[in-house]
Amino acid sequence: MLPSIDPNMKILVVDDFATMRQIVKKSLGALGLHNITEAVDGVDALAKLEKGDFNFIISDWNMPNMMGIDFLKAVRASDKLKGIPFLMVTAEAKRENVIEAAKAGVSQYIVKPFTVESLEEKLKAIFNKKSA
Amino acid sequence: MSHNPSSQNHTRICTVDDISQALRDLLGAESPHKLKMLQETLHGIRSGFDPASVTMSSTNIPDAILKLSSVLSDSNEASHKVFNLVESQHKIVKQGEKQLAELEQLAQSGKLEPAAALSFVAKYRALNHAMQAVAHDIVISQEFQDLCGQKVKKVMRLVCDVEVYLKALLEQLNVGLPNPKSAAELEAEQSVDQESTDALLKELGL
Repeated sequence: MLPSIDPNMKILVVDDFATMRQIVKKSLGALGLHNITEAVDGVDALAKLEKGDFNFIISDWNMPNMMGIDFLKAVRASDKLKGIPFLMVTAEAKRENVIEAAKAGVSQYIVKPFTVESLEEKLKAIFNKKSA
Repeated sequence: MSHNPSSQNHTRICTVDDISQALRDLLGAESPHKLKMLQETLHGIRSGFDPASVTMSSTNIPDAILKLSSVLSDSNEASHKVFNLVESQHKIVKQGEKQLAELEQLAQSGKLEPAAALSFVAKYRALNHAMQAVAHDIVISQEFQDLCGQKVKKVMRLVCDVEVYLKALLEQLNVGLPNPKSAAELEAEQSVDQESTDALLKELGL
């Protein structure tokens, strides 16, 4: 379904809501991507990122302990992690948030509720750009 | 998400009695009339508080937090239930597909006996019933919305009461309310849809 993407790439899905993590996992599954690890917030995600070689991060904006934007900044500040594509997912896409995320180095931004098709578009935009 | 009052920072606030005592220390016997007037004013402010505010802070607001907390867990539980039911539906669909493929193969080979065909019909009918039962369970799982809706409405009513009370209190204390937000500020706070987000990302070079 996504020829430019390695179907075995390791994806980290970060969201404090288990239901949302399930939805993202199902949507990725529908695109043929099944190598998924879950994290409940930015702190948990950073710990998991330190331990494993992830190829892609999908993170919610609004989370306890560490907001998605702070998590993104932490990823971009790390020599080991800064190159990982980062898709921000949010229910409240405020202009100032989008601008802040872009400045912090987000790869793409997707607004909830999203469809499998729009997720696919975002993945294509990220990975086509990366391979170009 | 749990509400943990013990984790809140409590700042020591001067009570009316503290201020009254401080005034007594300051003015003492020098200005007994002024002292009396100021103390009466302070006690007037205290007695002017709506008793409903006490109920609000001691009972209604903690109750509202519990209500919202249960809305959160109930909706979460219902979502999981639906996910599991949909999973079981997928399994039934797969079983049905498998049976149809077997039936098709038999029919194509010309070996399909009437008894075998009837057996397939019975099996398929059973799968249909199972599908209907799952669909029914999915509908029933949405029942939580009724209860959650009632709880949310109660909390909304409380928030409205608190708003009215706070406004009245601020007016009484002659505290100026901030100016309404400008159109530009309101626009910046508005959520944008995917299309506008994409346009903005493009503008930003993404």
